[in-house]
Amino acid sequence: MNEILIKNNESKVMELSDFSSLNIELDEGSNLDLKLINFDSVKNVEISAKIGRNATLNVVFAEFSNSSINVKSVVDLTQKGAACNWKLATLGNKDVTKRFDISFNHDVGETTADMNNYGVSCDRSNIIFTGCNHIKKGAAKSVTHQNAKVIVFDEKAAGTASPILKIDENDVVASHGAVVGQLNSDHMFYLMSRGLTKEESRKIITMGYLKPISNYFSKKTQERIENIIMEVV
Amino acid sequence: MPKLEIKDLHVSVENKEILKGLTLSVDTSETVALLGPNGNGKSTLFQTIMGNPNYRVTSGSIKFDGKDITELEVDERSKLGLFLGMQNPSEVPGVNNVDFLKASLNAHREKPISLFEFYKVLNKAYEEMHIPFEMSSRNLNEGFSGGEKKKNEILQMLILQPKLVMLDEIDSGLDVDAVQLVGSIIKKEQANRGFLIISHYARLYDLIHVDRAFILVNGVIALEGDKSLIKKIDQQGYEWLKKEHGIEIEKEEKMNEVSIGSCAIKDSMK
Repeated sequence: MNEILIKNNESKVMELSDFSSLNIELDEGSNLDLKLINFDSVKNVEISAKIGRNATLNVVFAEFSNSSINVKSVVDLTQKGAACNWKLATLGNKDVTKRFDISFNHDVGETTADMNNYGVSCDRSNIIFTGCNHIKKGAAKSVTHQNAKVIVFDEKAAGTASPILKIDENDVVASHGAVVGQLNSDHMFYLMSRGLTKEESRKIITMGYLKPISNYFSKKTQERIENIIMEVV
Repeated sequence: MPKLEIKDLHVSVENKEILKGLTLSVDTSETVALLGPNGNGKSTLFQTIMGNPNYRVTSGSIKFDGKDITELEVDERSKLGLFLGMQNPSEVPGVNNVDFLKASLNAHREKPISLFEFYKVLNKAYEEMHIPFEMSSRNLNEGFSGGEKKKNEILQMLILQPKLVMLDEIDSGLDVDAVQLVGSIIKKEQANRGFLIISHYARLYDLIHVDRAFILVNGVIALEGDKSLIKKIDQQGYEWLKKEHGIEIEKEEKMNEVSIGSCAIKDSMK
């Protein structure tokens, strides 16, 4: 168990292997930049967060292990002005199953949640994005966005993107996008028509898709992510 | 001098035959204008020559430089010196222009280019195309205007130095100045490589030297001539083909099935 209580502004980089569950509480006006990274074999991870008045939680989550993982995260936006920006990128290979259940509760009005989950599944792996953004009764003027996208690379690989929106109040802004698809054949043709091999084209497209998340981390971590992508894809 | 030779080419897209026994031969020292009404197979021909897997060759052959390339992978065709300037260049998110150009340039070389050499080549091409060098750090075609995308195609041609260049409506989306620029660059490059150019407008052809002109109708080359064909089509369209040569342009058989009282937009999406 690992608890973080944030009263002021802070920035943290954490490896998933350092904890199995994480409790975050953000006091009024505080701000936490949380960078999560995983290269190791970790089975279950639970994250829960309570965001106070005008507090903001920014999560950047880079999951690049080569083993199965189950991540469950619930962020409660408990006071007016609470916000959470969530970005996640993951890569699956071999026979692994990676499940990310990412939810946000808008307990009161004028709260914001923005979720972006990106995955690439190779070989026979399976990437699952689920979760629910719930705007509760009375939480008017809340803003919630869900975006989940999985690119399935190989014939036996699989992906699921099923974010759920529950809205019990009027006067809210909500959007919700889910895409599971194969590599864009037009993009492949375009790159190959300039001499790049199939493999090179695949790599360069995956880099473009997954690598932006690494910009939030140190040079060393960036290189590690890049090497993993080059190796797996 | 390498030559592109196509014999009795039949090509289907989604089980519909588009090219129906097309034969043509183009030398890499000449420029050929490819004309014809919409939907008769001009773009299909280019996509097939480049090897787009969505276009299935059912019979016939494509040879380049004496080598049968009908079954070759797309990148291998590029490495042989074929280049296609696309009608609708893809926007590839997250792929940086410079990284892409470097990778494609290296794909055509035995030894990777040095950083210094690469920037020299890059700078020269951007200057020649009047594209601000800052654009090089953006993602490939992402958020580019139609004209910028087309100029980016010509830029890639300058960098890759192919033997035979196919340009599919390169002038659509370009403003008047940009058409002039692209025209002058093609003219300059005509000494070094062959061109096969699709355009619906005489303006671009007027700016360059055209050796021959082909009219593609109903999936075959229906008529071959010189530059005067371009002028004739520009002034009269394609109707005269029937009167003078007995060539009838097949119309799409599918009738418009939408009737009054239904939502045409909804129906078209079915």
